[in-house]
Amino acid sequence: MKRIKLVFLITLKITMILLITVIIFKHLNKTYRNLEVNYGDDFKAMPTNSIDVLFLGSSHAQYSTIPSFINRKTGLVSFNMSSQCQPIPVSLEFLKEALKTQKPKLVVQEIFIALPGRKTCRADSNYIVGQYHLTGQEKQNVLNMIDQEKALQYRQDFLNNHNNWKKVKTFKELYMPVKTQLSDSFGYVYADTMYYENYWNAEIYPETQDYELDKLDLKALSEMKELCDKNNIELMFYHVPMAMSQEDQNAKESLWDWADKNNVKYLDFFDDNYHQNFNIMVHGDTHHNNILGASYVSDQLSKFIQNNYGLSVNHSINQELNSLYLKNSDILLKEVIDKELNPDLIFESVKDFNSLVLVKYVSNNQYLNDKSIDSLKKINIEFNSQEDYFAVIKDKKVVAYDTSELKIKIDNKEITINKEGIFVDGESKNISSEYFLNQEIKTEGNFTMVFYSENYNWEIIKNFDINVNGEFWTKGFNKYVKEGYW
Amino acid sequence: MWIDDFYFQFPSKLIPLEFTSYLFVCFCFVVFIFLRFKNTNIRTFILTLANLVFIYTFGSYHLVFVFGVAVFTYLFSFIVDKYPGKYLYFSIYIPFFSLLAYFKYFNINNLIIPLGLSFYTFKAMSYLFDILNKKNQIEKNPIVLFCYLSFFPTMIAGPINRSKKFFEQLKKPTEFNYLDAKSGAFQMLLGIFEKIVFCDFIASVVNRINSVELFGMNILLMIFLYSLQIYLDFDSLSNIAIGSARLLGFDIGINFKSPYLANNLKNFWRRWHISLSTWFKDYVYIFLGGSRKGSLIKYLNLTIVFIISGVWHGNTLNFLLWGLLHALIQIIEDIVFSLFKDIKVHKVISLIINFFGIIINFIVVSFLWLIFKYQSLEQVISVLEKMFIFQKLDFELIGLTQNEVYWLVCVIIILVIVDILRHHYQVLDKFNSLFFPIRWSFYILMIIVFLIFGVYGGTFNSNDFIYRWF
Repeated sequence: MKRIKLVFLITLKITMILLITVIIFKHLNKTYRNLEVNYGDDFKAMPTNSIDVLFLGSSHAQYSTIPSFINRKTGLVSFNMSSQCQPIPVSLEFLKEALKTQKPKLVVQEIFIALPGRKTCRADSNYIVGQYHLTGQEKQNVLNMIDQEKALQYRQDFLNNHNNWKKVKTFKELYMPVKTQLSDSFGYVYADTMYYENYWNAEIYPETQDYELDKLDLKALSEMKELCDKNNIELMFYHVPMAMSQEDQNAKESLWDWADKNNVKYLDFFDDNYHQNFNIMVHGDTHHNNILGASYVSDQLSKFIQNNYGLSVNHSINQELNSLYLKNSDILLKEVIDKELNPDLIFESVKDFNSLVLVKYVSNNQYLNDKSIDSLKKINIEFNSQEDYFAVIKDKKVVAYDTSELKIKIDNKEITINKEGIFVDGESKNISSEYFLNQEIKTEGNFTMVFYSENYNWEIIKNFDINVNGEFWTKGFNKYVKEGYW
Repeated sequence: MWIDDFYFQFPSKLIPLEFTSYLFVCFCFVVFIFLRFKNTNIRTFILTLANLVFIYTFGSYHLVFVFGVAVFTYLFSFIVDKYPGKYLYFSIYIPFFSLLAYFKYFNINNLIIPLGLSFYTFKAMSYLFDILNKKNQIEKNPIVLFCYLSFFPTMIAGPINRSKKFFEQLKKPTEFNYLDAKSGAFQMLLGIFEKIVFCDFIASVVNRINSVELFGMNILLMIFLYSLQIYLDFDSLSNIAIGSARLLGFDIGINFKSPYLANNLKNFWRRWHISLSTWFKDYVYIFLGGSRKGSLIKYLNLTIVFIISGVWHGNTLNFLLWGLLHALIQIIEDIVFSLFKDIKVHKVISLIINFFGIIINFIVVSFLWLIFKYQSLEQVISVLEKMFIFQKLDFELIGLTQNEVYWLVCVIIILVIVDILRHHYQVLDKFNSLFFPIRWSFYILMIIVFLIFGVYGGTFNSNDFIYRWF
């Protein structure tokens, strides 16, 4: 009897210790999420059946594809479900998970990770990062792809992240709650234009030989195509502007051959049609596209999607989602207008700007050439360039203008635009600071645009000078024109 | 060579029962359950089987050597028993030291050093010496002898337990003592905790200092931390071994007794790796005459013991120098203390002297470990040169975050407190007598600390014990 009692006591104590350990572990597992990655939460927060287009791919897709710009151009709701070095089999698992809550009409797969250039990506980590976005069977499928010695720790957030105590400042930081609010980036990752001087040209190489693509990738792409066909979803590929090797080019062409055989359309930015308008010297900082490059890529993607698929918006408008897209595109447009050196592309972006633009043009007996006049037409302005011109553009329409002085009240603000400048409630908005090659430059140009929206308050975004040829130009732009980059 | 082929043809298909693995813990508990039989033959059989399984998980290659040593020892024991004589001392040393010397110094075939070779050869020698000195009787059952030599808790890195007590405990087990078994299990788990939470963390800091070009105070910190690392590493191993043996009903003694609280080197060696130092004392120092033949002989014997100890640890000049320096410093201490032994001092002064003695001894031992750590004297000199280039302590340069620095300080404070407690009390027994909620609160705290602060996961291998490679 005594022995039985002892055995029972020992068993009970061991069970208690194990149970306590499991409970603590489970709690810590919920507490310790990865501090850096929560893309999956952003996607899961999207309303059910709201997405029209799903982008999948590597960091090249993350940095080049702006869902809010695509929404602005096409009205389509899209989400960029990409991550660094995201393997194609992982993209497939993302698609499977996405289809549980969404019914996209088009899936767009970026193909850098199928090319030899992916050697820069470490093997297991790509799959490891990918599985953070997933749940359930899709997560298990990804974990089954990685080195199984590491798989166990990545099945549990805590095992993978228990060292986070070393870097957090407060205990609260260990706990990263699941985000339930909509993200305003929709998967796009912003990259600033930082080092104009440090870029390199993207060269086009003609194909020299066939390339044998990775069998695992081809299998995943085939399965992706089957899944799309089964769900009446169109599938397309794209390859964003980036530095490439000859081997990459050969592999890309082999992939396009596969796409042709399997009736998959693709957009290749190394095609002459697109490349001539893209200059990697300005539009990509080092490896990925910056905001200017992303703006261009997104614009071209929008046109390609509209021309090739004719997708219509069938879902009901979600006000909160719409408002977020608008807000995000306004913020990013401001960056594009701010950073862009090419006046034509600046006006192209201003054309889509949804808020208020105040314009001051002082002629000083100069004139504008046809190219500049065409640029102005993009923002619905036409005037005699030998006279001064002051205007207010609201929601893309000129609501008021004058040739001597314009006084108008907007949103309880007294706005005065005359030869002396632009004044908001008496405060001058004439001089702006610009940064070129990391140097601050104070400017006041012949043609000034002041922007107002909820996101920034009466800021000068752009000052242009007019050169002797009657062209708009910005600081730095002439340098690149002279050196033949345009 | 055929043995090479044997090793590569017959690796174990099982996962090695590394000391810090949950498999080892489960294995111990399974053996514990099966050892509840009172019949000696059954117990011997079960324990032998457990030993075989343990060694086999590391590779059948290792089994060959322990089996070979066991057979040789068994046969030799009959000769020692029948023809006792002092001349046999050397005949005992020669074959075993030759085997050790082959693997450490003349391994021309580049064979893997058999698991635990240094430890079970010493156990075999101690068994034979005890027969020779009539301290133990010959064991006629070869299985019992094999069981002693291959006793799995002591296979990785000792302690070098004595045969007489082991045979007694194997053949005449005492009534099952729940508290004793519980203490054993707890000590084993404490050893794992010590290794994974404290030792490996300090090791990671030491490695970080080593991996960057640092000088001055940062090198000094590395030296002291390495000192702690080597202590924690070996102490944790010993705790796992002693705890698991205690769980199975075997008392194999203690191996460490707060060595860094020693106020001189002689005292230090009474507290550090006690099973090895007593082995050298009983079977080398005393055999050579000990301190009975005057100071000069005493110092010579001491030097010989530490030279052997040094070369036992490794096959480079560094280890020999390490042993020599330990001997030399003890000799100097002995001379100095003998000059002052008749001087009486006040208790408080004595305490102050004792305190400074502890500090100085720790510094001396730490610097001597430096010779132990590096492969060559040039590396040691290079490190010392860097130490003399002034650079203040900079945790950021080392690569430690603020939280890691706080944790490092906590670890050091905990270690000092625990060592002081261990010095004065039987900590485990005292702990077991604590009120139930206090004990269980401590268990829960330990689980949380282990899970959060433990160094595990990724590419780190916690089973890289330093002393395993001796």
